[in-house]
Amino acid sequence: MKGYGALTATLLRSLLREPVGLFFAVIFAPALVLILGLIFDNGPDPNFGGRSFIEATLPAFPALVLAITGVLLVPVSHLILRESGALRRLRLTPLRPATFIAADLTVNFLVGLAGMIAALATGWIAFGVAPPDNLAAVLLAAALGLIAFLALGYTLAGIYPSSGAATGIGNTLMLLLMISSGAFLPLETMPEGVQKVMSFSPVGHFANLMRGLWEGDGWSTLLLPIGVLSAMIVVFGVLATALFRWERN
Amino acid sequence: MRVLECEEVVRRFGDVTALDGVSFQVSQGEIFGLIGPNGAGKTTLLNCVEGLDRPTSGHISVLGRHPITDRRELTLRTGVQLQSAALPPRITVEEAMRLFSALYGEPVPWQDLLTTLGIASKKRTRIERLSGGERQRVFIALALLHEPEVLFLDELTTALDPQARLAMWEVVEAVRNRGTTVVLTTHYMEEAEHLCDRVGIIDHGRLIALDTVPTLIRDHAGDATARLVLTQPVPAELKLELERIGTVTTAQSDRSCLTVGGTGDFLQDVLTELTARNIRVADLRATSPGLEDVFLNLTGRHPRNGTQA
Repeated sequence: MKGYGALTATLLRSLLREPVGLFFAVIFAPALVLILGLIFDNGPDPNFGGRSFIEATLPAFPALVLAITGVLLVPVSHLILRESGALRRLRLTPLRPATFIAADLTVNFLVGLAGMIAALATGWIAFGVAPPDNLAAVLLAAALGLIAFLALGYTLAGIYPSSGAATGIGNTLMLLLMISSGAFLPLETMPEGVQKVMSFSPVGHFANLMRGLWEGDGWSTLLLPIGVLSAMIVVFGVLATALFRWERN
Repeated sequence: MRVLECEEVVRRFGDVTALDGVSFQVSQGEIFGLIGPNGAGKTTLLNCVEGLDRPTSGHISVLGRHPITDRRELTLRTGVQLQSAALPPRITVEEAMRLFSALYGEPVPWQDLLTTLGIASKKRTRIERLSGGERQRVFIALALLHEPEVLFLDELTTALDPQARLAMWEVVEAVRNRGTTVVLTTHYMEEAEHLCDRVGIIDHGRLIALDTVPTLIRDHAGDATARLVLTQPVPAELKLELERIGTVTTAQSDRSCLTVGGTGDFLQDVLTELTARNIRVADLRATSPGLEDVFLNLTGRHPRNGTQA
């Protein structure tokens, strides 16, 4: 436990001192809420079922954090630790592999959750979109999504050939996932064909789950997104474990 | 007690044989050096010893334990400085020391360790902002936190300036004087001569010689050379007379300059001969062969860059 606490603290410091990563993890989503809100939020809009732009889209903004964390931040930071030899050095201490992974997951989970909460809080403070009564359920869903995408991130860390490639591929993947999240534009306004493709996006499912809960739907009506995210946790959890490496090749 | 035993260790990477049947033993309290050019197999061998890599065949035991299956126990009893080591980026010396102290059960107070290593004033500095020498000291400090019984140092002083290298030698000697066995790799022959009780020479994955430095030099370094300047031109017959001495191998003269090559105490014999002839010496410079010559003679290459001699 002593090792877990110390390593979590160290990795958290290491991450928080990296301005670009910190920006993407914690500041990007709330900043986007602010910017898009200032541009598009013009009061009630029939396109959004009589709601304002931010009212309609805010619950999906945490999906941005999810995409960034899963396909970019987690794999890149992990690959940097592996490529630099930091993992190798830690491997020669009594630290158990599971302890390392637990600490690393904790750090990324905390930072990701902070980014999600910051995005939702910005919508509330700047645009008066109050959180729903079942906020606890919304946050629980956020945590479920984060865990699924942390597992994805660890899997990608095992697949990406290098941190450079991870940055390149991750940026592209991230963009695709972001567009499909419904945070920029509500999916209802998109052509049917696009909507169909988007229906496969795991980030889209996460956005649906968040939106559903936000609007007061019960868990039982959201079994599809819950199932998709749970399946991701299992599949990518197994893959990540199988692909985990301490050493660069 | 045997601290390290390697028996016919072979490591192949595909078609490349990085280690080709390496066998040696290291005793408690020794400073043991592995020397050889880059790519000779030194780091591969240390990786196998540290349990980071698995030999293709052969047997390694560290403190009587298996490097891989007993790695967790060995992490508590061995200290390691890796050639390419890093820590999570952007953390300070102090944070690194705290982290590693938490990972080990009963660490020594890290503040004292930093003071001993002369980097106490750097504790709030981020590790990537330290100089090469300071950085190496941090990694030494991390390797010593749990008072290991044996310390593995891979290319400890590569990329250090001469002053930092001397300081690092003192650190290694101090560690050994506390009873820790030290196994190090280097491609600096001066370093091996200065520090090591015994030296193993590795070339193309094979251990081609292993002994104390003086013995290696005696057996493999070849002739020593002495250059004498006489107060008079060298008499024509002197060259032949000197070459008749058993310990002298060559003698050359150029006006008042005399260059003599030989083995053992040949210089004494040469001076005796000169004294007998009442020839006086104005200047004398003797160069004794070193580990560099041993290496050159055994491998045909220079140890530092591996170029042909």
